[in-house]
Amino acid sequence: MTESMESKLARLPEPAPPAALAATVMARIARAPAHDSATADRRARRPETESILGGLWAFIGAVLVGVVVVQRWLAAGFASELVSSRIGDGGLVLVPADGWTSLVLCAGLALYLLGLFAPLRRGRL
Amino acid sequence: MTDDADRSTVRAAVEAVRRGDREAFAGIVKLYERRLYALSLMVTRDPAGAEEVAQDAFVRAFLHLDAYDERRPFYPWLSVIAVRLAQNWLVRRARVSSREGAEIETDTAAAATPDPLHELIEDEIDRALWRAVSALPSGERTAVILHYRQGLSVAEIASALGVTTGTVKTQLFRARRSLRTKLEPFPAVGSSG
Repeated sequence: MTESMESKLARLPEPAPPAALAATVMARIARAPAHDSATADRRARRPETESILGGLWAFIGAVLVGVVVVQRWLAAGFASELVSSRIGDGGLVLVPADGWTSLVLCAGLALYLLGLFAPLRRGRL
Repeated sequence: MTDDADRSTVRAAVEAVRRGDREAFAGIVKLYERRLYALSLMVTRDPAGAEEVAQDAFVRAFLHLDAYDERRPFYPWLSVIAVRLAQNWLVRRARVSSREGAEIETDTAAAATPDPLHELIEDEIDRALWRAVSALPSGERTAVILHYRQGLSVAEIASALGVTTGTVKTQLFRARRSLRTKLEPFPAVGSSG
């Protein structure tokens, strides 16, 4: 495009907008949902807070699992006690001896997984 | 009003709106309603459509004011919103027209639509130029208006329209070729460049 064409296009007149345009826009804005910086700040901070909470849950879950495993290990005196005799001598699966320990271990794992996947669940929403 | 004055008006209005004073947005509407309506009219070529697009663009800008980066000028941000809405409006109208069996995007259809801008232009060459731009297909017309009138770069247009820079370059190339052909009777503007 020539310079003349560009400048002519840029200088084309602007028709006056309908008289009611501004009033209609402001009337629609008056009916719009509340909009203030506090709301925006809260909205912006929410993902950050949720992310911190997710990390906290994962940490608590991991600590719970760690404490139970170490506690069982210390109580038994050696690591092989934590291995089910049904698996065999060289078994690899951790099976705590009583129901209460299993419950705490499961809760810890659940908390850990919930915290770990919290950002993914938020992303889907 | 100067650009600096515009900028300070916008800054004050944006700060006031963010504090909760929604009436302050009237300053922004007053400042840009003419430019935004003209832009919407150039893209849609329909006064009612342009009014709808301009209204929606202002309301959307208000609702998404948090997304506006104050370090950048306000009008290009607002105009991108308007252009996207105008594109959507054209798509909706094309769907309605195709359902009703009407042809759009032809020179005949463009000429048949009353064009307030055409009536405002006094100079014969300017009128021929606008007639030629107005008759371009919507994508090419939008690219030409954004590039040569609004001063947006190829990358900015691509981002605004959601297409690649290659597509915008092709649209501008085709538009220039078409305009040169149509403006051949006016060597002052129609010569190649």
